[in-house]
Amino acid sequence: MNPNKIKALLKRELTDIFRDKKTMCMMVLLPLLLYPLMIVGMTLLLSAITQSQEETTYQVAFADLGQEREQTLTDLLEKDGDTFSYQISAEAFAADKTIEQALKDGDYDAVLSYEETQKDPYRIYYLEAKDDSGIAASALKELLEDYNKQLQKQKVQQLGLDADEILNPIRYEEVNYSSTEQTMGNMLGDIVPMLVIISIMMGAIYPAIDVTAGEKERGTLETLLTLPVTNFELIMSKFLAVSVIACVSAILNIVSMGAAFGFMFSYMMEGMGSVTINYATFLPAILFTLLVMVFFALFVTAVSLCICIFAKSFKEANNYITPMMLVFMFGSLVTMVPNIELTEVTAAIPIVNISLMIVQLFSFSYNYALFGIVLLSNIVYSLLAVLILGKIYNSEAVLFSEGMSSLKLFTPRSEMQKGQIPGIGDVIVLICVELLLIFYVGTAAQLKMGFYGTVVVQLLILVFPLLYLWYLKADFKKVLSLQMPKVLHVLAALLVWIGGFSLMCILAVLLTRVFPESTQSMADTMAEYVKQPFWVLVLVMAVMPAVGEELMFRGFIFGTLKRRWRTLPAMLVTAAIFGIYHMSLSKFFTTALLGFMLVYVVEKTGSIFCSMLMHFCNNLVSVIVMKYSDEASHAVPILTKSSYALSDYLLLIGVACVGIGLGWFLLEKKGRKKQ
Amino acid sequence: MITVENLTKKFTRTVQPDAAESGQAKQKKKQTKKEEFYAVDHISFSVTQGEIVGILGPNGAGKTTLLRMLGTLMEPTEGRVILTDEAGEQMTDPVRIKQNIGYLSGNTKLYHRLSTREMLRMLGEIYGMSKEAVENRIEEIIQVLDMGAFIDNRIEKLSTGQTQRASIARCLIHSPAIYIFDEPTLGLDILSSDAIVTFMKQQKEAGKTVLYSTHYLEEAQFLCDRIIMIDQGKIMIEGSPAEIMEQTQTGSLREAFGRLYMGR
Repeated sequence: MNPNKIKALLKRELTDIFRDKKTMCMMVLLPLLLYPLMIVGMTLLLSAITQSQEETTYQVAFADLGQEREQTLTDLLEKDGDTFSYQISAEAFAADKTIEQALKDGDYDAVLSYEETQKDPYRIYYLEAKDDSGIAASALKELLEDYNKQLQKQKVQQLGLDADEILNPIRYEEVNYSSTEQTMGNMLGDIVPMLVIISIMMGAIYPAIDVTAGEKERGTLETLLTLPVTNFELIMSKFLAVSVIACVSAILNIVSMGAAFGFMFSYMMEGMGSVTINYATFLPAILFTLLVMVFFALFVTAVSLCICIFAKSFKEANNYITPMMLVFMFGSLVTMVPNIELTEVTAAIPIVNISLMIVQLFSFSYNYALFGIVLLSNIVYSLLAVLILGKIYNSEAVLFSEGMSSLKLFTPRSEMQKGQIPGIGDVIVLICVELLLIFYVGTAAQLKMGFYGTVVVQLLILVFPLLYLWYLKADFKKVLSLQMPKVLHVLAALLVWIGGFSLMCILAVLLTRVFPESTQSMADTMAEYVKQPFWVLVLVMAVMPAVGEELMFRGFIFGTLKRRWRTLPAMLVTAAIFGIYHMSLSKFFTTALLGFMLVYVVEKTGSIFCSMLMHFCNNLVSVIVMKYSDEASHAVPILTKSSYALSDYLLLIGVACVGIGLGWFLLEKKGRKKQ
Repeated sequence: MITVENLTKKFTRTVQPDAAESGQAKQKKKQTKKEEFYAVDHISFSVTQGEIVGILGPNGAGKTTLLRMLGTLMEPTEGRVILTDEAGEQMTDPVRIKQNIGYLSGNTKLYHRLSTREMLRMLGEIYGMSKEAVENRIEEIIQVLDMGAFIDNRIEKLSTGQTQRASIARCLIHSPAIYIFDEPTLGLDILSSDAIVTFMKQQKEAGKTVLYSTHYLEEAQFLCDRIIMIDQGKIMIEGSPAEIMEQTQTGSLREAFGRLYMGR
């Protein structure tokens, strides 16, 4: 790697981008002019409107109120009129047309009448579609409220009682210990993450398209390839150029929005009088946010470059990038979901971690360990993305031709080959969409329907991959390994499972030392499940996951990966995705272990039914232990113990060796003979 | 000198089954197949210093792929490209080879938003030249290509002929020993293509090596020291224009070309 070459390339990329008027408009003009104009303009406009509404006197009429009521109300208006939100001037209804007509002709803004025969004799006539009329009507409501209070007071006093004591027996005052800064921080925490994420995306996407697809479209890519530079130097210069632009644009955005919002707040505060805000309290939060933005900009840049690089033209790149934008926006919405906080787990989820960290910053709680995880994970993800980028940029298929082949989804359906195998891109889309579906639809279903929400989640896992495969016209039998297993293979699968299950028990017990809280939190959710009848539990928690999750992980994902990569990486990645998908750090290792055994058996037997059987057995044991925990701990105590004696370890290791050993022997030896 | 050993490039392409076959296949499934094919099929040759070598062949013969591999823009599936410099040192590393090659094709467009001078400065920096050397070289190039009038204009503002000269300037900046041109005169008017032909002659006289592909057989006949005709990734015939005409018993390269490709 030669820094001088990268510098020269970077200089060229930056000059090119800075001279591009479209990019500059998006980057500079938009944030520096549009946001302030919009926000300042809106603030001024709104306040002007409010002011004019406050200053306007609305014309109302009293119709058929009777002498006495009319007099009282007019007096009230004169006496208390200043305390109302709006000024009204009242006169007797004098037009020689109907009230409706008078309102429509604009003679009055609203009319108050008294109709003795009605149950609610006072009536306010107005036109909701007219702003002035609506305001006049609400002013009349205030007037009637006032009148109401006056009458109540009079009547109570006539009875010789203390009016205040009767009418307002409960008097209170609010005491707010939150400082204005904290309140403001809370508000900012809601909006800033989304603004940051969107502004960084806006800043990164356009140049990312420009330096990849744009370069191809303008025909300068081949020129670039004639230069004596390595692909890594090329990609680094592009990565740095886009990152710089993304950072600059994001900072411009934030500064200009900050200034605009500051203006808005101070304008609003002026009306409130004595409140002062110490803006200095926000300084650490703002500085940290800027730091986080830089790291996040690197991540966004790398990801969008990875996507855009497949496109041949601007238009195509735009199509590819839209799903990414949607995913990012969904990620930033996480701040709106109550009860999600920055933890060790959420701090490692991209996008979500940035959003939650900014929320924390603005609520002035600084957990540096978690911030460290957020920053570190963003660096790691960016590095990963850059490495992938380097790999892709080496591939001639991407540089010289046909656009995206790893994502079959975007080919017109009529051009899809029957019986094709999905691409890596399809696997990524599948995982992202499934996670989003489970996160939003699944969580909502579980909140609404409790136990049966789990059914919804399981159905999502089952149906979506199948629909996807159907849309791709893929070869179901091949991708999903739908093949009847041999009896011997079934036996081997069961043996492997028994051995693997023992290993999982050991691992789980060892892990409870590292993550002590995990078993406790499980117990709460279990309570509701235990109430269900046994067969329902078996169906929902053993049969459905065994079918759905196997079709998705060992079917779609592994079936695709093993045809695109070598077998071992495909197996490891499938197992890891299976572990990650359970969204719990404490469960990751055990599920990944299970995932590996399942994928191993599918690879060796070529039949998904073997892994379904294993998965079913595995979940069945959990269901039995959950439903009949007392009986189970009595019959097979090792299942429910939370710590093992040495003899337990030895027993489990023994079972594991025998089970896995025998299973392995059957699969390897018999499998080879078959070939 | 540039030597090519067993150079091979394999691509996959989608094949539509032909009409008769698909008629039968329709009952089963209408299917397209992917198959591998050799764009360049185990080609070996070498070009010595001061030679102009023309690569000829019909569309799809593998000319562009061959030249891209020669320019190390593309990695060969098999075989290698060896460049030997004047001191006799052999190099196979793409970055080092590129340092000694000026590559020009219809697809090597220029950055529109830079001026020619800015572009040349940027390139000089990447080729590792000193600032002074770059400035001197730019002045030389301005003289040779008569670019004084538009060197500081943005490239997007230049005419086709001027752009072509700027492209040539791009290949010249680092004074490479070898030029690889992929159909350099394609689509140019007579004046511009004459300028390129003259340029290639001048370079030959200056002791540089030129390898280029073209469809203009008359141009190749009087310009090239040697012709390599390829088809379906393989060399069909190789030799000086006179040798080729003699072997095929024809009076011109055009006739020879016609005879070779009709009779295949």
